[in-house]
Amino acid sequence: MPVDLERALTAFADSLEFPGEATLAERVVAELSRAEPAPDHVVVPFWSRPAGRRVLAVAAAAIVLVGLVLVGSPRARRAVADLLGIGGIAIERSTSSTVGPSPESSPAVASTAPPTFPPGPDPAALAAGRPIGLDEGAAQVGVVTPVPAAIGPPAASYLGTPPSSGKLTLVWPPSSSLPPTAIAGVGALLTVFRAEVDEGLFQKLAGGGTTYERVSVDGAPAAWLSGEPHSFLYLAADGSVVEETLRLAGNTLIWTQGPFTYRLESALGRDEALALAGSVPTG
Amino acid sequence: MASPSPEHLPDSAAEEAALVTRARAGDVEAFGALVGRHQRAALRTAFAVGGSESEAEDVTQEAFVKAFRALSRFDERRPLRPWLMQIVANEARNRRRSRERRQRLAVRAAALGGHEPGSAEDLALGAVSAAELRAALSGLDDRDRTVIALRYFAGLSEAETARALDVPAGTVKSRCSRALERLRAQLEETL
Repeated sequence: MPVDLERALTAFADSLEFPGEATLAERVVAELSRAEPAPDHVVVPFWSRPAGRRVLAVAAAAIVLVGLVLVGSPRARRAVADLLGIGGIAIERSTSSTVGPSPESSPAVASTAPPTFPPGPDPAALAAGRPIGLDEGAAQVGVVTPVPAAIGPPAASYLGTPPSSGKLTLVWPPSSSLPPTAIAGVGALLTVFRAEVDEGLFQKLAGGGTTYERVSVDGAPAAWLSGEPHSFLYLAADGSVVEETLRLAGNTLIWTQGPFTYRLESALGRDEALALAGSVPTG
Repeated sequence: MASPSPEHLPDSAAEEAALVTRARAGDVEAFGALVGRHQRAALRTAFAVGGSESEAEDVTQEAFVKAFRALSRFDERRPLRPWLMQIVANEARNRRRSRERRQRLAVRAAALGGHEPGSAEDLALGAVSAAELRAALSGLDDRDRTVIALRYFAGLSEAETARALDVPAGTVKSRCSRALERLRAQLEETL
């Protein structure tokens, strides 16, 4: 595939269009005339000039970018590892990474009397963080304790990172209302963290073996994902790229409420998951 | 090869020198005329180095403002464009670094999941598309990207690029051909 790169580059440059090109000189002159000293007299810091402030405002507003990347193909997996700057990362399909009970793991004790939960998932396998009391964990993340009325308090709760602002994971065992999932002892996982979902990227990236459906929870945009397991990428408020592997091979509902993103992983169908999500108190 | 843009014809050199002199004395309007002459090259350089079309305008505006303030340090015996492009490239590079992670995510996402339909990205440039070129450019390091930006996006000659980069002309030649090689490798990886 020999490509005349020099020509392609020049053609690419020529094809670029900048809507503000025609008025650029005007804007520079206006900015320079505004409160401009003669050249080199005063150095006005970038952030204190109008353009600088605008840029900072935009940067502050664009705090979060969420992507969903399917890891079905080796190429996508490599790209994800690349993206995260950790080549060699193993991103496994959760169908093939079913986690059995870990003998020495005693699941965290939740603040409220938990249902019996033997033998319990290994928190490390869930990448959930350290055990923490339910209310304490919620307070750390700054979210209203997210216990769905439909299923009651979880068996265990964990506080982890990323993002640095904390990620609260609640775990329920299978029950009459929660069918078993690919992870032994787990009926549902609810994760809450501070980040926003960019719908555009969902739509752009969903494909392959995963079905993406746009739904809503309490009027807020939500994504319903079913099919192949996937990774979940987002940009935290501190600018770091965070990769979350969705751990259950089943169905995932992701929705936002205010500054928080909620993620429910379970074997529930769409309507049941939506009903459950709708019963999560958000204050 | 890049053709010289219309506002950069040699016969306007004397006119440009006069504008530079006036701008150095604080004439903002004269500087505005200089901006008009170089904005096309500047915007494209800002894009190629910075990797973002939406940011390129802001970067370019900021770079011109900085250039005006720094005019007293400009050697009038030299051509203006390489000096300006140096400032534009620096500004774009700094801006890029400050949001590089976000950028990488978006570009990778585009590479993985396709791109917005109907955008200029769909434009085919011979055997390679704009989207592929954009993604490949983004995979280069600052040094490679900058030399490519100056040569093919700003349309500077090797000698002018050498001035902008403050390196010998021979260095530009080898640096440029290595950058093109790596760009080609990036493209082959993507395709």
